[in-house]
Amino acid sequence: MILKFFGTFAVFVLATLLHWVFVEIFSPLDINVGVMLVFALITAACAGRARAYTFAFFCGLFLDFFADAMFGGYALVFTLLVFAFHKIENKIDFNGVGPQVVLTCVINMAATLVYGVFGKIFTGVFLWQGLKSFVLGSIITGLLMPVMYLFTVKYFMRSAGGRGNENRSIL
Amino acid sequence: MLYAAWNNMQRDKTSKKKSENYDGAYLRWLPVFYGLLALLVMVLPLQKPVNSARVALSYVFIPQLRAANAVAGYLGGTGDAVRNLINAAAENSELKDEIARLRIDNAQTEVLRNENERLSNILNIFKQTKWAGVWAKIAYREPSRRSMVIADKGSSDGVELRAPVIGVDDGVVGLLGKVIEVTPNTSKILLSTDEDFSVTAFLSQSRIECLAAGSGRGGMAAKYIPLEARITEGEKVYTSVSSALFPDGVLIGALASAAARGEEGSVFIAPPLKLAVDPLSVKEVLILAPMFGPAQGGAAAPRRESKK
Repeated sequence: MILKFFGTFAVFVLATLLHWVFVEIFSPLDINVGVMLVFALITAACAGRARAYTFAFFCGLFLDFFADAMFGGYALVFTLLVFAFHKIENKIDFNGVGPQVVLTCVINMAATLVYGVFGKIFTGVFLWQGLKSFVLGSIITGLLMPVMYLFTVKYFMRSAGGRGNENRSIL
Repeated sequence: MLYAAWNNMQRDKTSKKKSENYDGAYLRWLPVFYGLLALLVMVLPLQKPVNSARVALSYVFIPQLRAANAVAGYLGGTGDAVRNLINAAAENSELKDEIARLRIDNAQTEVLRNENERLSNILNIFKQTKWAGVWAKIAYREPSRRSMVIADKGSSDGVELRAPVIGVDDGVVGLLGKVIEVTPNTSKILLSTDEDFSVTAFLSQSRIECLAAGSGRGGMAAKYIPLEARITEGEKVYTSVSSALFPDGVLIGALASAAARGEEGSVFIAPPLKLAVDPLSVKEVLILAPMFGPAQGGAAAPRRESKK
């Protein structure tokens, strides 16, 4: 239990570090890369549901911490996306590179749109980061997924493959 | 007993089912819990609690961000450092090439300066002399015969066969040799040290005529000086007016020894000469016009001159 907690916390720390690095690189280009979303999805795919929801919630909260408006918006969006991911995970093979890229790309787009809709509902403004960030950011996020997935599985998990393996995972 | 075992089994099954239901319900309600929590944070006017939460979260996140910033800064600094190192290596290589080029230029400049100085001296010397001819540079030295050199001027520049050649060494003008072959662009010079070279000469003090001839060992000797002649060491030797090939008054050298004796029973002595111009170090020569016009045969059929 303690090992799993520290493993999850280590992945969270890694995610925040990489998020900061990618923000430093891509912010000048007005592109928002969803590093935290990538790690939330990896945790959802490889760890147990309880840890996946908790991890996603805090990843969202981490982004909200830096957002100007709608504190809690990303936490809600990430929680809903992990919920949706668990609903469809039995129908896809998330171990393949292709599905990882495509699904992450689509989920990032969905996250952007849902966050925008929430912004419209709760603040009256559709929170839109621009078409370039929407398209390129989603593509980069999708391309990032296989690399991060391999790295996380290699160094933080004994095996991957969803809830059935959660007892063999340190996440 | 069987009834008791059946009851126990049923109780175990019920307990396990209750536990699974509890886990399933817990997991089912977990996203709802987090969703409501997020909504609560979003909807409720909790500016102060949210700010407090932000402050609380900052204790968790800010150290990581500082670490991330430090890592990013370090990586960025590393990139700059690597770039600077690569640039420095490239600049170092370019500067080394530049230094090598400058060294070559410097050496060439030194050579040109020396040449300029030498030519200026020669020019000043020959302004005061009566001789006229073609200036040439020594282009090649015959490796198999050190007493023969090739000058870079030929018949197209006015050089003719049997032309006398004068050299300058350390500001001293002296006899160097004669042209024995001419091509349109080059001419071969037989140096005065060659054993096939000879010229009539006279001693400046004792006024004795002799034959200055090459020894074949890098020097010359004044032959046919009578045994009883009163000669002195260091006495200058010039070309004689009776020479058919050379103008008179060209310095050949000086007597290196006055005590030299000839062969056993001979009535002449042949003291060695210290040459005025070192044929091996001379670089520019003045090729004069032949005293008695061009030789037969010309450049197309050069012929080797024997003893005069």
